[in-house]
Amino acid sequence: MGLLPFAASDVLRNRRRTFSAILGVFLAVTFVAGTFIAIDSSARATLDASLAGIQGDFSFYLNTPNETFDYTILRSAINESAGVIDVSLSRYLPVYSLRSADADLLRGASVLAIDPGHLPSSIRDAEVAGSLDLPLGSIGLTKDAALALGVGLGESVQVYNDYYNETNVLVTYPMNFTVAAILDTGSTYPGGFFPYPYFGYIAVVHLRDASEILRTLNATEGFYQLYGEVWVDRAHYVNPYDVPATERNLARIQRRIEAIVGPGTFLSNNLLGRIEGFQSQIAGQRIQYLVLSTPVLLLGVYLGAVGVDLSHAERRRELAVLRTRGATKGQVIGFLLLEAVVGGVIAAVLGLLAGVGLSRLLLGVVSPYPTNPAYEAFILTVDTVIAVALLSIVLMATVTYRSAKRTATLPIIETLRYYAKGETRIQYSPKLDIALVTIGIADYAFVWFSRGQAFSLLTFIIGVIPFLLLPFVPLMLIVGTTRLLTRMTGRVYDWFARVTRPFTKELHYVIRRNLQRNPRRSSNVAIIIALGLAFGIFTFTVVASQQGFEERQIRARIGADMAVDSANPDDTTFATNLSAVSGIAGVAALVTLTNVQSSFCCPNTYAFEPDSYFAVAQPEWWYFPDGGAEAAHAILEAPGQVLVSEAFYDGAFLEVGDVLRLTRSIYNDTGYYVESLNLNVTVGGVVRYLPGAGYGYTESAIYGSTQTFQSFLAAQQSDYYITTPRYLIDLAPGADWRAVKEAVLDLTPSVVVTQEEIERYAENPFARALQGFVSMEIAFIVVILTVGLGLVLYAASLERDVEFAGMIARGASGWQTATVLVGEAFVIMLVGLVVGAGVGLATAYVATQLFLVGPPGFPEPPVPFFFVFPGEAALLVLLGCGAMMLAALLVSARIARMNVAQVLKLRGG
Amino acid sequence: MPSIVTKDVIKVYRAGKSEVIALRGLDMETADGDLVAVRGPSGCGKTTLLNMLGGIDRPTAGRIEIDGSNLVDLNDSDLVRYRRDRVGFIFQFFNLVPTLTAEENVELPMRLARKALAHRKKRSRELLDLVGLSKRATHRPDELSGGEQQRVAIAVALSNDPPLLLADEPTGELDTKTGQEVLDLFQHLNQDFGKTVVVVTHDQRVASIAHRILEIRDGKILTPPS
Repeated sequence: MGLLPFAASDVLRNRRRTFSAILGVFLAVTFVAGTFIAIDSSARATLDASLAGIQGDFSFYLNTPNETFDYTILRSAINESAGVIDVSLSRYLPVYSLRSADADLLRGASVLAIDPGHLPSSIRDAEVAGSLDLPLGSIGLTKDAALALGVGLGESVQVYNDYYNETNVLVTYPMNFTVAAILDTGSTYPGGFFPYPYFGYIAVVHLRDASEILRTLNATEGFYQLYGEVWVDRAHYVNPYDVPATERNLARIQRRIEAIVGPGTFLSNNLLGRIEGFQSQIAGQRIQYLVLSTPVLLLGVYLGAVGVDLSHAERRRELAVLRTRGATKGQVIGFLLLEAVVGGVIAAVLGLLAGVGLSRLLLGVVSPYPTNPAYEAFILTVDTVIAVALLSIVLMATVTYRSAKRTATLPIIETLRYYAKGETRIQYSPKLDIALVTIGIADYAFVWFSRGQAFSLLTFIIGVIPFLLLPFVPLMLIVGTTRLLTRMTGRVYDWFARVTRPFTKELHYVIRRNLQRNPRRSSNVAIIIALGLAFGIFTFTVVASQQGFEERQIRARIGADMAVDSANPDDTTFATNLSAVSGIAGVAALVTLTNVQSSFCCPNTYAFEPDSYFAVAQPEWWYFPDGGAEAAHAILEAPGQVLVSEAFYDGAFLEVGDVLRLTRSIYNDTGYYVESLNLNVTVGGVVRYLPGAGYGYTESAIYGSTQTFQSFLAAQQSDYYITTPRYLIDLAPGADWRAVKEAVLDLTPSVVVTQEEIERYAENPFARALQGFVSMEIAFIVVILTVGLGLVLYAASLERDVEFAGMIARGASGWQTATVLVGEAFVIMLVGLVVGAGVGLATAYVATQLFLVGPPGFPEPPVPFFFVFPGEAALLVLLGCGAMMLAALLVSARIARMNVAQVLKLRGG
Repeated sequence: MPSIVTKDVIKVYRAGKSEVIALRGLDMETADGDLVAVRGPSGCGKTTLLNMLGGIDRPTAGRIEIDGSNLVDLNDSDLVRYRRDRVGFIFQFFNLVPTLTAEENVELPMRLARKALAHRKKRSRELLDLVGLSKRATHRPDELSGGEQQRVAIAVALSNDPPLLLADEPTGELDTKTGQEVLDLFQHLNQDFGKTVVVVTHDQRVASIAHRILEIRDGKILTPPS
């Protein structure tokens, strides 16, 4: 440590050399610092969004003493508590049925008595058409409830209660209401990605009138349960950056509310659990993004090693002189490591400063929840500072150690040579990389072999364990293969140097000689380029392939361009009205047959008209292992023939031509079993699956025509439990799906659109955040590649100033001489490009083919996973190479404009 | 054969706000085939003069005529051709390309002049033979002694058979014996090949072989031009 002042002064004295030595680590910690600062700065947005869907900050169920309990007193008392900004009290009435004047029925609705000025969370953010004043006799309906009933503002609905009297006679108690409000809660079904749950059909009345309404409906409860939601002043009482204080605030608010609602009332603190888990959530986020930053860290380390190596090479003589003065090798190594620590501290400080700027770009991608990156929201925590400083120092020490050891052990006489012995060959042991590549290839081979096999001890050993390693294999292959190809021999640079001959002409052989004489430095840069391009191409390709797969899954699940369910099973004109909607080219009804059993358990059974189904669904070739869509269509056209899914075919050990005995139970009006209906069908063929008819990896199914299942369909129509068919819709070419959806919503609230689901998937904030982060990371990698190449060229040009000046003095032009440097850069970049692109593509291809392979016994998905090479990957290669060559040209321009006389005068000669 | 005439050559170096006047109106003349020694204390402008004559640097003012052509009037492309075809420069610290062999170093100026392969090979062998290093043709500079490196540098300077040789302290890094060998070589080139040689040197032995000795003080020649 006595050498620390000397180490520090050495670092500070030569700023250019220090900067080039710490550059790689600086870039790596900048990215990590920017990520951490962005996570911290978006903490409030993350917390607010994670709390968005909760049902009140506090909630409770209070059993009122009697029907005449005055809820306004309770609400006022709680509202006056410190920290409380709103209280909502509501009550679910024990009636569940509504009907319209046209006798449309809606069963299973919730009738909610509310306090209109203080809405509960289920409808709090709804857009209201009409008025929620709700005088007695008026009612509000959620949009889907209104659609199901076929009513609008000002129209009548009836709430009714079916009641069995003492003589077991069913008596209906009705009460008429006028629709005064329609509430659009923003979600039909299912809900979006944020926790806005779907509460089903809701009708709302005034809480004040609840008792009277229940008396009219003969549904009086005596006492009732009041549901309360309390909201606190989060801006002042909830601080994501000070969790202990927040816990204290919430505990005190909770005690005040408990004192009001009384003992025996369970008060739920909905905030506390999420706040307590928030620290862990942030820590988990940091770890997750640190792991995702591995490529940047790896490249930063490689670039750092190059920079440190160059700085040590520059000082070879100076360090050798130290040894002639009596310093031991250990002291020289220790001295250089001390310099690395000082450099690490400088890199950390600079990295934090630069990270603040980078965090503004990362704010939108580290959190799935949107936030506005306001400068006043910039947060730098102690944790971040410590983590970045430690990371920086450790990385600097790591990249310095090998070079320090090599430099310290160099014989003094070697310093007289232009290139030290260690630089004239690639000191490289391929054992680790061969192991990485072998394990990776073996892992893929074992997983490939065991796919589709039954689970056994053998498949456990060769399937399950390799399957667990599968996510790491791409990294192993990329690192191992690129290192092998760029370091195994220096001749690869000589081979590629021949490419420069047409451009560099007379000085081509100078380039070849230079690359032959110093392959280690070339390989250090080539590997950075190769790794960066391989990671980028792999990531973009896998993400694009995954996107394509998800789109195919969505289409398979929905079945066509659009799928709707009729809201009213008694509406016989629905299909006709649907077909008449502008923009719809075809409609196919798909009925799920209920209560059907077969001699082999337990397939789902679907009936449809083959012509319309195949015209609308247009199933792709991958659904048909044999024969294709036309053959399947023909099988279904034959009465009595059915198609079966592969899962059912294999699971029931069926063969084509086997007869299946199907039985359907018949139930009466009261839901009691009456008799069974039998039907024999013949297995005509096998399909993997048919789109729109359920979806799942293990879908066991039977598909038949409406003609084949005529008897079952007739029985189903008169069932007590009525089910409605699903209608698959084919849109006309050029039709605007949004306009068509709007028109269809007038007929039924239950609409799902394939294109909308695809767009929703693409907008999945979690996936979007992850993709955005990865894209930013790859852009940063391009920066590292460009900086790396520029750094090495700049240092090389400084070392060889005299050599270049001599060439110019002997008759070369400035730019002719500069082409030597550009040519060397081009060869290194070319090696990196070929290796990186090749390894990235190959690894991505194999990974996509095995992407969905599960452990042994896990079935393959019904839709295929295709390899997709996206435009972003090609753009990465073009931009990356363009940026690197631009850096090379800029550095080489210095050579072209060199003051030869000054260089020769200064450097001797 | 060139004659060298400089008239009122001034060279000013500017570094930030400070100015250094290296040459203050230097006049000189040499005849064809002369071997000229240029002497003077450190910082007097010797190397600056040589750089001007070699087309490596441009004067701030004045004329430099080589065989009637004013170097100041030449554009960058013409200067490149001048350096390649008309001048051979020999440096104190040799300045050979370290990754090339001796033979490849000698070939380099011929490659820049786009001479044919056969001509390059023949000429480089002849030149290495001339300087007594034909057995070291495949050795790189770090495998040669200082004297050997300087002799290779002389061969490089002769590569395109320039009429004018400029040497900046050619014996500065050499021992006495080796330095004498190099000076003998210069004399040989001057007398037997008719090269005009200008040598900047502190070495007293150059005076004994030079036709003329020019003393420079404070950027001007002390000795009269002829």
